[in-house]
Amino acid sequence: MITPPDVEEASGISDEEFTWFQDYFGRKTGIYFEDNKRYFVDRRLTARMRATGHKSCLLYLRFVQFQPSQSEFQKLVNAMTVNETYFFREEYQLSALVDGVMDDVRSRKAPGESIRVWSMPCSTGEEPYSIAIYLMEHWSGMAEADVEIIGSDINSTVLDSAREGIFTDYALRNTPPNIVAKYFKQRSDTEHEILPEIREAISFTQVNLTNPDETRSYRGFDIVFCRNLLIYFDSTSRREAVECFYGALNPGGYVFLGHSESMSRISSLFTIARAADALAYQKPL
Amino acid sequence: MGLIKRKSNTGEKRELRFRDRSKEDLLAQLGDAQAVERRWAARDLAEYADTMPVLCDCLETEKDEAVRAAILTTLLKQRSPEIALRLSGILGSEDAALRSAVMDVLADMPEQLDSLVGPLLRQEDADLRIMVVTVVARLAHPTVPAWLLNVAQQDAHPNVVAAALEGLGECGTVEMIASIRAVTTRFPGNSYLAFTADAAAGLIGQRR
Amino acid sequence: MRRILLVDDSRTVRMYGRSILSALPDVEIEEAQNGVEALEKAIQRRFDLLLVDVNMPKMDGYTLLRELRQRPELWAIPAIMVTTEDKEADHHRAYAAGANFHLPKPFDAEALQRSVVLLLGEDV
Repeated sequence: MITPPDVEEASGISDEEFTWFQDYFGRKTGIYFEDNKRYFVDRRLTARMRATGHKSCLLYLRFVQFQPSQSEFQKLVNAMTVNETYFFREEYQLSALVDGVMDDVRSRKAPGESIRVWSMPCSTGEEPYSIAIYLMEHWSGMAEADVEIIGSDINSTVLDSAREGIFTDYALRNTPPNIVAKYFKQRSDTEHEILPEIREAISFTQVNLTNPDETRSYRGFDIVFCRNLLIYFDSTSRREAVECFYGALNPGGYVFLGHSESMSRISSLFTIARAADALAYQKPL
Repeated sequence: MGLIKRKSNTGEKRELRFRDRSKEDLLAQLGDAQAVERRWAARDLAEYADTMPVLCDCLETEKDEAVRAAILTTLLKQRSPEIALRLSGILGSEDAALRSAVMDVLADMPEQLDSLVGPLLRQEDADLRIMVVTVVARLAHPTVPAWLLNVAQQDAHPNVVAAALEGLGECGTVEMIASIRAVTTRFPGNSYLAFTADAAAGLIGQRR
Repeated sequence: MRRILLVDDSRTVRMYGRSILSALPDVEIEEAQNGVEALEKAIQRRFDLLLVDVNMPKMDGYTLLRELRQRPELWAIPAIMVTTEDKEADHHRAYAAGANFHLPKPFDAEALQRSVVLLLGEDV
């Protein structure tokens, strides 16, 4: 592995320490940093080392590994992951929705019963709006079925933003121009407002996923999107979140996690379902 | 047709009855015939630390995986040395899935297991010791490498030693490499053990 | 090319299994750390044989085999179960869960190779 000399001097992180970090972090989170992410990793490791008073990366990593509260591990995760949201993120999962999942869910619905989708966390709304648009564009069942989408987040500021429904070019960078033209009204050079009929059709609610008292009334869902959230939770909270989803879903309901996430580190309550190119988790029937 | 929005804004289903239940109500609900009721009871008992014994009793007989998971999550939230002790007793169960689920939770209770590790590693049953070593290897606790090295150097059963060496591969220090290699002399001719010691030394060496 | 999935939470056991099995011709090996991960992989890719440990976090070996046997696309995959105990009861349990064969842990290299060759068919 070639390390630019000035990087190694600045950070003092050896190739072996980087390798160990790659392996350890990957095993714990499912996220493997390639060798070419060396600079990215080194900078953030160095920052955490400084914050915790460690001069040696090895000693810092051992500290992370053996700290009973695991609070530094959580901070390390926060430092290493950049959680950005944009429209049609991880599109292959939206594709899986229309390529089997929605039809499967609908097959179990009584006439008149709506299909209920929970986007949690919904952040500033890109995900629930993406789901809505994708279904309207690509799911033939949309003509006959009722679909209810609820977006939830612990943070009220992002929810306010989601309710406004105004997005930048950057948030729409992965969205085909014809879709932008069809579902958004251009408000300025760089701002696009989602059509009112879509904005008004989605409910945005504030919820702390790890508080059973807050999540208890969330039931009867058919699909849950929980992408790139659980990685930030400690193991107790992860269990609670997954068990919340279990209770929130109807039998046969689906959970979609983020691309690098897996239930294999969390729970075996869900069966594994293959939907097109995606892996989803299904509550047993 | 298409996107719809309910009038109520909280995602509730109309049929849901939410009733305030006392601890006694919840304990009674823990024995309900319906798994979904037992699950909610297990979840809501989290705030009552003194219900731990009942929850552990239920754990041993509960067959529904979701209820079992809820009980374990509640015990994990309540966490105490008494719970760790009780759970470690369940490692002797015939039910592999239960053992596996209990091990997962024990591995998340490093501080509560602390004082129990020594006695648990001295149990007579080698299979139990293997499970304890496996849990210890997954603990976030600074004494883990020392515990594992001790097992590798002292335990009589080669499979237990192998489990400890495995753990050391993940968390051992460079200073331990010589001792790790020396462990193979305790079981000459055991090629799997030789492999494991070698692998552990190699993994530690990679981290330098 | 025959694809084998090694399922064990122990990295060393997986390494050991890999070192033994890569001596066989035309064999490709993948690994999984527990039953859930194994199912995820088996659903997404074709495997010709599974080597499954009993005691694993999240989903133990018996449960994994039972799950496999319930899926139409996976039910026929040969599986060797690896048991730490060598009692009759464990053999029965392994077969009842759907194993084609069982081996005690730690596996003897020759025994493992022989049983893999047997289960994959003579053209390995």
